[in-house]
Amino acid sequence: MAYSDKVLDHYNNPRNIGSLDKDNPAVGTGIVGAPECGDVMKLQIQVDENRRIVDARFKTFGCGSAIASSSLATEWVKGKTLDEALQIKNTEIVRELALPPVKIHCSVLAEDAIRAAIADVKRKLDGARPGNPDVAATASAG
Amino acid sequence: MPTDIQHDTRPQKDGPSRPLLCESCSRPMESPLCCAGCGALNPLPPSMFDYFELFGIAPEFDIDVADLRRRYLTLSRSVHPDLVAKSSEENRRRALQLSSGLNRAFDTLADPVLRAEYLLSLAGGPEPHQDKSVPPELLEEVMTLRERIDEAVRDREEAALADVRDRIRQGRTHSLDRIAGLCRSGLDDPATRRELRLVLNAVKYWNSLQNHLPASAASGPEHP
Repeated sequence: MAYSDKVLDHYNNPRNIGSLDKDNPAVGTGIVGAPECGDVMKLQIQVDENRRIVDARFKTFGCGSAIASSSLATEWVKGKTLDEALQIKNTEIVRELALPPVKIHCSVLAEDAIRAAIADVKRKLDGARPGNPDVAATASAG
Repeated sequence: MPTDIQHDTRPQKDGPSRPLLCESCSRPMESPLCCAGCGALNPLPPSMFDYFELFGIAPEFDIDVADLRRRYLTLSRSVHPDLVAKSSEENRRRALQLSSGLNRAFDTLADPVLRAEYLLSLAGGPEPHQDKSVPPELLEEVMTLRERIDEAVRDREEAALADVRDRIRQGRTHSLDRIAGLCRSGLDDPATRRELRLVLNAVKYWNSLQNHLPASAASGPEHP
């Protein structure tokens, strides 16, 4: 099966590869996996005080389509608010990367990773809020 | 993934399928695959049968694999495609279908993980596509171990690689022990079945990690 040019581009020049500090209260981490192929994907986002995503990183152990899907996902979430980022659908990733039907699960994994990262950072921000309303704002500065 | 197809095609337990009668000579068939009387091949592929019933053994996790192999070889001979090479096209098609189904049945029961998958499927699931959950912290550890493999290979750190190898073997063995324990405890309870699904999912990650380890002469014999 031949990969599309866009998959190859992300595979050869992955965007935003690496890690953010998962203990930073403004960083959300999502780790998801596909048991059928053993692929694992980590996607991290960092938000500012307005809950806008200012940075994103990924690390994926999997096939070219899984790497491209997560690389694209980090590009797309940057600059979006958490609620906007939640609107990203795996079908848009499929379309952008021209993924064949057998690789659709890779795009699902990327969508799951975005959602898991958003849920994680929301838990941190909202969990911190009642006791200490300043945590969310100060965290993004650090 | 051998468990997906058979689940829906198994006959009803109280269905009219037993005892099977040969469709050629109407005598009861001892082997579900072919008639000992007239040698006619059963038109049903073995996926239509419960694999344990097919081999005539109890549906349990602890089976005698050597005994299973003997039963498999006996059944294989009765449906070997070479036996019907000169027979009708329909009979040749049946023989192919029966022997490939028989191979699948044997492969499924001979392997402990596939056998556990099959027992789970017989007990009502959840099937792999219905529940992909894994134990907490597993994915994070898988991620870390994959990173450590890559680093150790890049830096030619044999000692670090040996550590990772040990951890993977330990994690996999622990999962396999848990699978055996759960199967032995019986799968009537949905909570047990969900836990079995969880550990069966986990073992796939351990297998995948093992496959990503570079081949090493120092790795020693594979533990089952």
